[in-house]
Amino acid sequence: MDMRYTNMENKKLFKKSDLLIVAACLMIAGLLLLPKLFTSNENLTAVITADNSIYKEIPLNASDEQTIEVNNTKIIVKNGEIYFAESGCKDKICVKTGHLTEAGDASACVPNRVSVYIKGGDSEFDAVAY
Amino acid sequence: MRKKRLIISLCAAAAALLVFAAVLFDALSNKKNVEKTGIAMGSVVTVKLYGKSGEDCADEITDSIENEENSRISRYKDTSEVFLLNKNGKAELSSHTADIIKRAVKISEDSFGAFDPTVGRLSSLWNFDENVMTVPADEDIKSALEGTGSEKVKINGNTVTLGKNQEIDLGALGKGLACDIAAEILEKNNVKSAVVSVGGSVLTYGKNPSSDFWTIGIRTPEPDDTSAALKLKIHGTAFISTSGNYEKCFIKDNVLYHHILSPETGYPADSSLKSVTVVSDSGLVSDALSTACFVLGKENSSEVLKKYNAEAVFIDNENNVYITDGIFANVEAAKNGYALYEYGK
Repeated sequence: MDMRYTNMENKKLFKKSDLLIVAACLMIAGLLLLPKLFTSNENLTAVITADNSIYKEIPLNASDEQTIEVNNTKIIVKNGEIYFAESGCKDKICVKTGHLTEAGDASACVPNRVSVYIKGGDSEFDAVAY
Repeated sequence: MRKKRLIISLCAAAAALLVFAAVLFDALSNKKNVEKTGIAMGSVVTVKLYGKSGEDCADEITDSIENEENSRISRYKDTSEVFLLNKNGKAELSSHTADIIKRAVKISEDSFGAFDPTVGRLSSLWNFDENVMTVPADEDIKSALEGTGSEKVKINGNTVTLGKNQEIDLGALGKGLACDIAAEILEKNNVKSAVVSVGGSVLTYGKNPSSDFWTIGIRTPEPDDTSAALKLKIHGTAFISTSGNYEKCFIKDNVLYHHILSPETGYPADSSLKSVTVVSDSGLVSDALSTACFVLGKENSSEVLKKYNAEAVFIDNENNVYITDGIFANVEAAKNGYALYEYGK
């Protein structure tokens, strides 16, 4: 058997399959990047909990202003923000916390046991220490 | 020959497909499958679990923290052991609660009283927890200080006896302790990766499935800005706590009054710092030391940090950031205006 001939054949074969593998890898990369493209801050969801149970989940980019009244607090969602507008509690820390806009932002009215948290999107931080 | 080529090509395609399936499966299984919030320890608790862990584990964490507060360490809830101890001046506690008080007293000694778990009356007087925002009378502050001093706490087995006019306040370690409890539950449930935040005290647990490290922000030390000023890379499991003068504070006659009280003066600690972040292998230690170091100031904190093998990030009033050598390479600014220096150099 002519060894040189066999080697030539192998070279050719591997070139073709190499191309296939490259194409497959590109496909993998593309498919892996797809979810990233769709996970932008457009997809943020505000989660409102009352007495440590989920009370409501609202997309933060909803076009209409929404008012949620729960456990003696009034929460407003508008223009990509969520905030405690009013509360029947004494200290009003929840109202003073201000407007939440980013993934991972959280606020609570402890006396009324209501919390607001923004989930989804791509946050640069796994958590913020404060 | 063509047939052979086709077979090899098909094999390559099949292999690529397998790789794709494996990567996709990996990506999916590493996804956060639970992200829950609740309220416990007077603050927001956030639990993010990665992998196969379920919601039950997240609920167990929030419930256990709440139980720790209500039945053990709260000084407000009349069902708690600390409440009864403060009321009666003496109590036989559960070994768990007695152990917390022992550890608190030890940290108090090691920090030369800068962290003091016996400031209950002083805390009640300022009442930052209820956002009262008034400066107490000086004579009332002096009177409240008479009861402080952890050396007056007598511990015999699980029986704790307080000094005269003394009240325990574990608020400065509660959120860190809650992170310790969270870590125990994660371990029990065989969770591989998680991030838990209890009112800003953070536990990073296991390996971040999508990176070599966890990225933790250190909050901008200003009352009206909750964004991160610094970025801290954490490898694996660690407990991170920050104490800052931007939380629970008010301004009166151009003076900032904040909740980190000096057990020496009875007034908010003034050590030219805006915040101190401590990283260690214990939540209780990180939380208590962040308060201790804030009160002690940058220059006087190195001894206690070394003793507990803890790392720290100090932000002073001029936004200079001093970082201990163990984590110096892991910290970077997340916004302009912060100058980074290695601590002690």
